[in-house]
Amino acid sequence: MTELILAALLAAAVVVFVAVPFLRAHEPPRAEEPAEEMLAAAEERDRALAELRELEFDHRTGKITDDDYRALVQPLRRRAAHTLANGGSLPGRAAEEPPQQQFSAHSPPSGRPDR
Amino acid sequence: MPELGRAALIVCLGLAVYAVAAGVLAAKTQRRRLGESAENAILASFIAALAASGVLLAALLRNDFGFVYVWQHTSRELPRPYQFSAFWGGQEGSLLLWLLVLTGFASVAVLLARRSARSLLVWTVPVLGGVILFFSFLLVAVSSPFATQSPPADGLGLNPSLQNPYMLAHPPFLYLGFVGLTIPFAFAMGALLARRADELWLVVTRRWTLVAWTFLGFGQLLGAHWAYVEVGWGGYFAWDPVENAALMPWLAATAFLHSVMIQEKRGMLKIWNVVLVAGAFALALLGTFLTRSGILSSIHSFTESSIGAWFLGFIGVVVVGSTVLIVSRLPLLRAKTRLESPVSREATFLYNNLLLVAFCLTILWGVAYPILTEAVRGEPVTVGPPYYNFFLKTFGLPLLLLMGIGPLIAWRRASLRGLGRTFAWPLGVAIATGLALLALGAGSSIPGLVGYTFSAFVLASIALEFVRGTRARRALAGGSWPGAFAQLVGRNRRRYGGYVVHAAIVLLAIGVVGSSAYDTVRERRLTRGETMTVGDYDLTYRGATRERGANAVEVRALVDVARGGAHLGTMRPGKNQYLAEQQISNEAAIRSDRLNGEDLFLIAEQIRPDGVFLKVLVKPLVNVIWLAGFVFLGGSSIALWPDAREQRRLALRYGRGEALASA
Amino acid sequence: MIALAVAAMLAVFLVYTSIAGGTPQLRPSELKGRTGEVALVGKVVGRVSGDARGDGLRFRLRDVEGTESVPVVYRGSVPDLFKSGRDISLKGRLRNGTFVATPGTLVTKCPSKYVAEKKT
Repeated sequence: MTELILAALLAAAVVVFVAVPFLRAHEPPRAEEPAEEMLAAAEERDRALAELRELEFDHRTGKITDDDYRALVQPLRRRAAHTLANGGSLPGRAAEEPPQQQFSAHSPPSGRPDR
Repeated sequence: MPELGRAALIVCLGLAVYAVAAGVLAAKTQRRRLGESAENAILASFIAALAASGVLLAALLRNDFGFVYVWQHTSRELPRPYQFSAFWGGQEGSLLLWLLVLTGFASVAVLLARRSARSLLVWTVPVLGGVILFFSFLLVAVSSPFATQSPPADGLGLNPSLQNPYMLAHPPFLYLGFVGLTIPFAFAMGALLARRADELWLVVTRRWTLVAWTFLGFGQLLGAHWAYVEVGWGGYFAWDPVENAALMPWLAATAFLHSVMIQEKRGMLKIWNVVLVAGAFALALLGTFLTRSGILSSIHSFTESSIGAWFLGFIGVVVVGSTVLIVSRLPLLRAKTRLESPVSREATFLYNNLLLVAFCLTILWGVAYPILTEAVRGEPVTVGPPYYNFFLKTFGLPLLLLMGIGPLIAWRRASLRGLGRTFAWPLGVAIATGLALLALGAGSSIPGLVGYTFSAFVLASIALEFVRGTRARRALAGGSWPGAFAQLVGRNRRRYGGYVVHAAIVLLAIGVVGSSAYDTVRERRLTRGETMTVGDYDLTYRGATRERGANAVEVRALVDVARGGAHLGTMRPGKNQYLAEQQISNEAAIRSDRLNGEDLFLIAEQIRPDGVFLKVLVKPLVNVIWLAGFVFLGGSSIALWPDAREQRRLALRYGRGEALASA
Repeated sequence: MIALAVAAMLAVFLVYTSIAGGTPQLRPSELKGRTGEVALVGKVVGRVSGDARGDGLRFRLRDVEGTESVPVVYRGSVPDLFKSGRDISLKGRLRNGTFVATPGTLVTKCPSKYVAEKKT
């Protein structure tokens, strides 16, 4: 007998749980989600920035020679600037990144390590 | 109580059906309340599975032999912990464990993704529901843990060789790993169903994959240690199909963990990644099937076991379904970027993937071939360790080398000059180590020497990474060396955690090479007082003892061990004769040398007061393998540690105010 | 493209090694006339005598489901689960009506429970 009661309680509980969203009177507003193209652009932008950051890191840790760095950094910077233009600005980022991570296509090379 | 258990499983099945149906409808028509209702169904399925599990656990703990399952897997004098572990001791119970962990993980995934990845979740829910549906269906209709009978006086008990702590840890770890791979699979399929080509599914499931992979890896090491100390034949991995069953999904998951990094950095390999994650999941299902359906003893037991056909069918559905889905979304996933140079970090990751997948496929072939030939030719064929060991060397050694090369190469394109500089030091260390080892006699095994040399190379390159990184950090931000080191790791958890994991794999390689390429095995009969010399050890047989233990007669051979004249101790290899079960178990004696990681392993047969047949194995460096397990956990924990900055960055990208909880 | 080529090469290689490398697994009733090394699978029946570490362990092996049996002599490690009535497999060749096993290849088929028996 207890078994049946418990089973019934379980069934009832899950039915209620599943029905809860419908207790809301009407559909909630459709959440604002970025469009697919914007997402792709944002990912491109983040990728370009991450590559630049890694290039700096690799250079600083000596994996990339000065010549290689000079050769690689300009195209990457240009690409990053391009994606920034496409992917939109980064409102929250400016504050959290240390100064040498910010750049534009025209700034001089930054962060030369002491050798 | 069995009725409650059965009812709970039926409720779970019903919820799964609802989750699939409502989920698909909600996704197609964009109805949010219906979608939330489907999500709630997933959450509720966990409650139902929990109820069913509670019923079974209670029955096990109170020895209710009215449950057929309890009768089959416990007995009155079975110690408490093994009454608990009997939950997963049999087929029905382990299916229930699968369901419990699956619904649990699915619920957590739903809760975490609800706020931050709703449009992806909407299509993921039906996929999760589908898997839950399969397992609940099996439990309700095919293999129920709640079959009843009129209770006999006592149960059948547990095989004494399974009554050890490993029984409590090894299967659950593996299950956490197998089931954990469902989540990335579900999100990947969800993304494809939603016609998405972006990385959100990767971001959301990254930690899931890492956790599942860690559990699966550590679980296998536990199994290896169990085999080593308990089964005691002197080895830790026999390429048993059941062992391979866990290795295959782990290899696929390892490949996946690396290839997602390429997608993240370069936007390439999207198709490869979804194929790989589906493959890993299919292999996890296959692994469960192989371990639990009995197909491996012989093809005859396949037809005896009820769940075999269903499992194969479901694996077929998963494979075909994901293939169709991937093919239909190919245009969406096509990469716009190409591999720029065969000498770049992307390329090494690609080679790593090819090697891992190739190795995985050779194991799959080795497992499937006997079954296939029996079905086709009627005459089964055995595939043994020589086959597997050959491919382990062929693929494993290059993989080892790649672990050292990858971190040292830059993305996109590495110039040879730059390579020369970065490789110089690790290469030097490797060559020096190789020459030193050659002088010490390691030339007796060429693959062994190569393995050691490659290991030295990788360890040197990892050490160099840490040193260079700390130096650069200190140059940038000042501070002490330890401080800079902590900051370095703290700001790059994935990278440096990954390096620690690589170090663990290298330790594993060193241990495996030492204990298999450079071991010594001798066996002979010794009379009392006689001494045999194996390697550095002198072993003298002193006599036999025979004692009555709790449930067994313990027969032991007393063997004195000396090295260079110094007495090291007395070892007691022997056998236990279990009275109730009429079984004999081997109790090997192991002496571990703290300083050099070497083990002296003794197996005694035909133990008599006047003589014994002794098999002696000297296994160098075998304890490094177990050490590797802990380093592995440490590295994984570092990589898993939440990073607030990265979460903020990702939250901004995907347009949500709150951080992505599982990113 | 590279991946496909590698996969194709791998497939060919695998098929080759398995066909060359696998050992046929037979029942005692199928042994007649076979002279090469094979793997024999069956049930141990009758009395087990002799010394596996000495002159050789002697027993008869019968088809798991059948009546034909063959005498076997085996030297080497004997798994703990070995006894009359157990299903086993071992490698060797038929010589003068007796199956002479290759040392150390005896493996017991573990009944239903979890871990398969592993021996050298």
